[in-house]
Amino acid sequence: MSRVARTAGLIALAGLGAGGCMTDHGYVMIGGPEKAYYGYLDTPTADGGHTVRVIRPDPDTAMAYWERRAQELCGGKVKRKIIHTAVRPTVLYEHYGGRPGDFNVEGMVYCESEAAPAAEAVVEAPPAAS
Amino acid sequence: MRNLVISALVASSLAACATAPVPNMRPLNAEQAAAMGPTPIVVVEDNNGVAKTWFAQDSSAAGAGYGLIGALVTATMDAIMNSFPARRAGKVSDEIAEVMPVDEINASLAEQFRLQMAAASSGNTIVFSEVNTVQKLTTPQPINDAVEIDADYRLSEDASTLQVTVTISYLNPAIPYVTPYVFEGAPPKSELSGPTYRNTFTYNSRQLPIPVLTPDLRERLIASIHESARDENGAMPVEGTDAFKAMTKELEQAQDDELTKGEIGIFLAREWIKDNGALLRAEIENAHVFIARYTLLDLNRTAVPSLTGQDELVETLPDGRTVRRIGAGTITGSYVSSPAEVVGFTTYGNTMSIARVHQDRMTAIREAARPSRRSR
Repeated sequence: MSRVARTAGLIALAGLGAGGCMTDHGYVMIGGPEKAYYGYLDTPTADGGHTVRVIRPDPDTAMAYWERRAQELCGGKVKRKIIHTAVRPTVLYEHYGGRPGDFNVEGMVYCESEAAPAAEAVVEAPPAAS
Repeated sequence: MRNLVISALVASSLAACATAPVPNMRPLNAEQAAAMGPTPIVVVEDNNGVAKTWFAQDSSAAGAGYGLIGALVTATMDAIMNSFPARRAGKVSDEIAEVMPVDEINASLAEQFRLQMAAASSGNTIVFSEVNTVQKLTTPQPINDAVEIDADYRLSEDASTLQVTVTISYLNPAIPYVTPYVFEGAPPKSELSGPTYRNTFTYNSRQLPIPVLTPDLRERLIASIHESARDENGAMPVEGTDAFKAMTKELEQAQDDELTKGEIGIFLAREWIKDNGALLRAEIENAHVFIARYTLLDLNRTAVPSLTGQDELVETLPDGRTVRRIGAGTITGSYVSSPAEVVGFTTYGNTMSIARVHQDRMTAIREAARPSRRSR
C-alpha cells in the first residue's frame, strides 16, 4: 500500500470514529441497517408494555418520534404513556468545558390490549416506613 | 509524523472499545449479606446544599492555537460571557440556602433512615442497627463496616427540576468484594478492591412548568438583570468595564422573544423558595423516603446486574411516579425515581453554584478542625 493510500485510509477511519456515526437518517431504528445513531429504540417490558427511547439532535423531533413510535407499537390504540425521562446531557470534553449533547426521551407505553401498571406498587416495592 | 498523528487519532477514537465495561453497581452475595447482618448507617454530611447548575462557556481550546494572545482573548470573552450566569446561579443557590440550610437536609436524610430502621426490621438479612452522621471534611478516612450514604442535590439549569443523587456503599476488609462478573483473562484492577457493595439512587422531582414570556415577565427580567449587575455597594457597572459588557449582553438577550434557561431559572427558583421552601422541602423529603426504602431493598437483593438487560419497573405510585431499576449500561442496577409526565427537556450544565453561606460553613469547619489536627 502506498503512503498516500495508507494516509487516506487512516483519515477515513479517523473520520468514521470521530463523526461518521452521527449522520441523521430521520425516523429509523437506532442501530438497524443504517447503523443509525439518531432514531428510536424499543423493548418489551416485563409487565406487558414497551419502553421507547429516542435520541435526536433537536427537541421537537425527539418528542414527535417518541409519540409516533408509541402509536405504531399500539396500532394507534395507546392505553397509557409515561414519559419519565427527557434530558439533554452535557457532553464533557476530555480536558476542558463541555457542550450540550443530544436530546434523549424515554418512557413506557401500554396498549389497550396490554396490561397497564396498577396505580399502586407492583413488582417488589419495599414496605413504606410509617 | 503526519501518519503518527492520524494513527493516534484513530487509536483514541477506538480506545473506548478496548476496555471491557463493568457495572458501577456492586451487589452483595448471600454469604456477604449473612456476614453483615445488622449494620449501622452512616450519613455523610452534605456540605453543598442544593446547588444551582449552569453552563459555563469555555473557549480555551479555540484560542489555544493562537498562542498567548489567543488564550488571553478567549479567557476575557469567557469571563464576560460567564459573569452573569455565574452571578445569577449564585443568587439562586443563596436564596435556596436561606430556606433550606444544609443541616436541615442532612437531618431529613438521617431521619428517613431511622424511620426505615424501625419499619422494616423483619424478613431481611441486612437491617439497619443504628444511624449516625459523619463530616468528611474533618474525617475523610474510609468508614469500616457501615453503610455509607453520600447525597448530592442540584437544580437543573432552568431550575425546573431538582435532582437528588445518592451513592450508597459498604466497605469492610473482613468481607471483601468478590466480582460476580466473568472476564476474559484477569479481572481489571478496579474489580479487585474497593467497597463490598455499591449502588446509586437518583430522584428526579416533578418538573415545574416553564413560564411563558409576556411583556410583564420581560420587564421583571430586565429589572432582575439591573439588580444583579449592582456591585456590593449597590453601584451599577461603569461603561467600558467587563461587568458593563456582561450586563449589556444580558439585556440584549432579554429583549428577544425567547427565554434562555438562565432566564427561566430566575423565575422558577422563586417557586422553590416560596412559602418558606415548602415545595423544595416536600421534594427533598420524597427523595429521602425513596432512597431509604430502596437502600434496604437493594442491600438484601443479590441479583447481579447485566450490561445488556432491560429496565425493570419496580413501582408505580398513585401519582404516576415510577421507580425503575436500570437494566443496561454501566449504570445498570441503579434505581431511578421519575415523575409521571415529563414534557420539557432537562439539562444540568457543567458547573454548580454553591451558596455563599455553605461555602463559609465549609471554611469554618476546616478552620475548626485545623488546631485539633495540629495538636495530635
